[in-house]
Amino acid sequence: MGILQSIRPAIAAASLFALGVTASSVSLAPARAETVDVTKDSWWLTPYKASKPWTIGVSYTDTSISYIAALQKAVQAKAKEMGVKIIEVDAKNDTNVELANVESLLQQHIDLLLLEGASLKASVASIEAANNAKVPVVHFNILAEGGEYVTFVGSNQIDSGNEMGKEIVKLYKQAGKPKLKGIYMRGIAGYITDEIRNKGVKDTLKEAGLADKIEWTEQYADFSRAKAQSVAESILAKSQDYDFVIANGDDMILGALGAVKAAGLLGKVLLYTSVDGLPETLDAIKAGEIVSTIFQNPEGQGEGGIMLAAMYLDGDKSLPKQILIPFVPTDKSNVADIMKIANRVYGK
Amino acid sequence: MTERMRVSEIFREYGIYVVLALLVLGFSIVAPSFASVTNFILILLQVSVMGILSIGMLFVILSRGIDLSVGSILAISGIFAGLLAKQEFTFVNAVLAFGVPILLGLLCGMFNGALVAWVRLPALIVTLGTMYAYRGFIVWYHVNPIYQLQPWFRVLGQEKIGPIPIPVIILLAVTLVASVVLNRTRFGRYVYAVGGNEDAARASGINVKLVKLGVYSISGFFCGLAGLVFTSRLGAAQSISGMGFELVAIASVVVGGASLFGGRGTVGKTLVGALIMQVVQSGLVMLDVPSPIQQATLGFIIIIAVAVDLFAQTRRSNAKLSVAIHEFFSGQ
Repeated sequence: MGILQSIRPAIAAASLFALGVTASSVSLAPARAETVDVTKDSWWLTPYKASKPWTIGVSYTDTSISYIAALQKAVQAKAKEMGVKIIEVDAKNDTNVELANVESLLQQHIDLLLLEGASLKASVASIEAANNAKVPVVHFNILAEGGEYVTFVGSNQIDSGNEMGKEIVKLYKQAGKPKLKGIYMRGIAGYITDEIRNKGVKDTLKEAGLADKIEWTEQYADFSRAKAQSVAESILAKSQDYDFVIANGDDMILGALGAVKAAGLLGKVLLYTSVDGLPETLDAIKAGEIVSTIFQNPEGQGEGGIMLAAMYLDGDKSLPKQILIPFVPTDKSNVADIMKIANRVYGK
Repeated sequence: MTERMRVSEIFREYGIYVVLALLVLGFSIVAPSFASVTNFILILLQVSVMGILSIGMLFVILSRGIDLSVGSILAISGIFAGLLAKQEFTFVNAVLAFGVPILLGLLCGMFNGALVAWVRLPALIVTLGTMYAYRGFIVWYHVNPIYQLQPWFRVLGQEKIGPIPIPVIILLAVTLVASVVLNRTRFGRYVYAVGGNEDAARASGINVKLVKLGVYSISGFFCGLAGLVFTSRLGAAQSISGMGFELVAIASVVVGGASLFGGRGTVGKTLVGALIMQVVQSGLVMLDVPSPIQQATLGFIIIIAVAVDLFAQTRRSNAKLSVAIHEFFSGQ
């Protein structure tokens, strides 16, 4: 784990480089299942043809979220390239809907279920339904805690919090003040994506011995831009004496940015976010309004997920249980490279 | 007795204003930075979108209807505003960017109204259906956020005239116009009449169908306007915007003393209802109260506000009721 984490930024940097160079030069003959090395950087960009037109059921958490929409776009593109049929369903963030969707997919005799679990615990019902029907399951983006599955392709969620924590450690060392005051825009109370990022941030600060050097004002803003703007406005109306704002999601930092700008504090109060690397955030990083975000790669997760599903059906039974698509800490120094991927997957 | 009656009468009439004043006073004492002119202006700015939506909702509720589709209409208006607000500034582009979203809101509202009035479906079902349908359409049409809106468009939501932000001015204008429509026009009286007793209204020659079409159209129109303000203030448009707004708007109307059974409620009190919700939210944020507790507090405020109002409303009818019960049991 420790080693993995320390080499991850290096992998990330290398994968970025590889995108521009190797991705375009490997488009010769499609690879075969056993020749794809899933530990290689940007392996999901390897051209691949399925041996049969498999039917794969794909279940998403909520396609009205930009990130999930980008994930879906990546799945569709890769499925077309590989020559497999996909039947897609949307759980709308509701595990009951998810289970009903999965049952209906199983009725349609899918060869494999590619699942983005809507809940860590409650999605187990969907996985077990597939297990009982003897349909293999591949997880992507989110790994639910139960049932049998072939492999998981996604990112280690706590890393994005750790990376944001490191940014605050860096800021503390540069600021040269005994204490820093920060605003923390949390997501939705009780959501795993909120709690795990919070844990990442706080653990990283604790490890650096800074747990008591940061004075927090924390508020949940429901991952919503409008709510974050309104909450940040009220906090800044009370006191403008803050050094930084962090958020557990891009939408919230963009809302906070609106409030910081309106209060005339841009440049004085620094902004950081833990995930996702949406095009608007990247533009704001380029413009120097936001310091950093952590890019989560929907292309790697989406194309990788459907590609692993096809590889498994094609007979590759030696897949590792977990295949990580690294987060990429993104600031002014590498934002141009990240923007290329983001523009590709988020479209216009 | 008459003295008492007068007190309860005054309480019934102005109680909601007293509640707002007490809340402001309370927060000002426990959080001194709450009591500043800039913060009061900020709260008005923060309530602007919900205030506009709530006033539209009031028209519908007065007619004994309900509109659950307001958040979805706001998102449709917002996305089209966003798309049109990326164009260079010309007169035509400005008219389109400010006009089309409002027009779309109006059309969505008219569609609701037509279904309620002519197909005679329950408003709850119609607007529940269009809440999903409108939302589904706009998420399908444009799932990615639209940003980098032109500065000329952002003026509407982000600039001030003197010390007053433009959204606040829009909200005050909406309040004024809606009051005039409800209090000084024949249509306004018809809205109250239809909500009070639909059969009686019909019998007295009111075109109930047109009135219903009217109230949903007005709600849609205000959703379109609110979508414009929302998008301009945020500087970006998202197809997921406005989810859950319908319930906050209904709560504002109800906290403002309107009856969900139609026929009773005023524009001023609706605005006060929306302000109460916002004051509580802003105040609790300033006091560092976690958001789940804020939510719980808002929930109780809705219940208490309605209970207090109901108590004031039914004092006299209670008196009548007890007389009736007494008469019944004493065999008179």
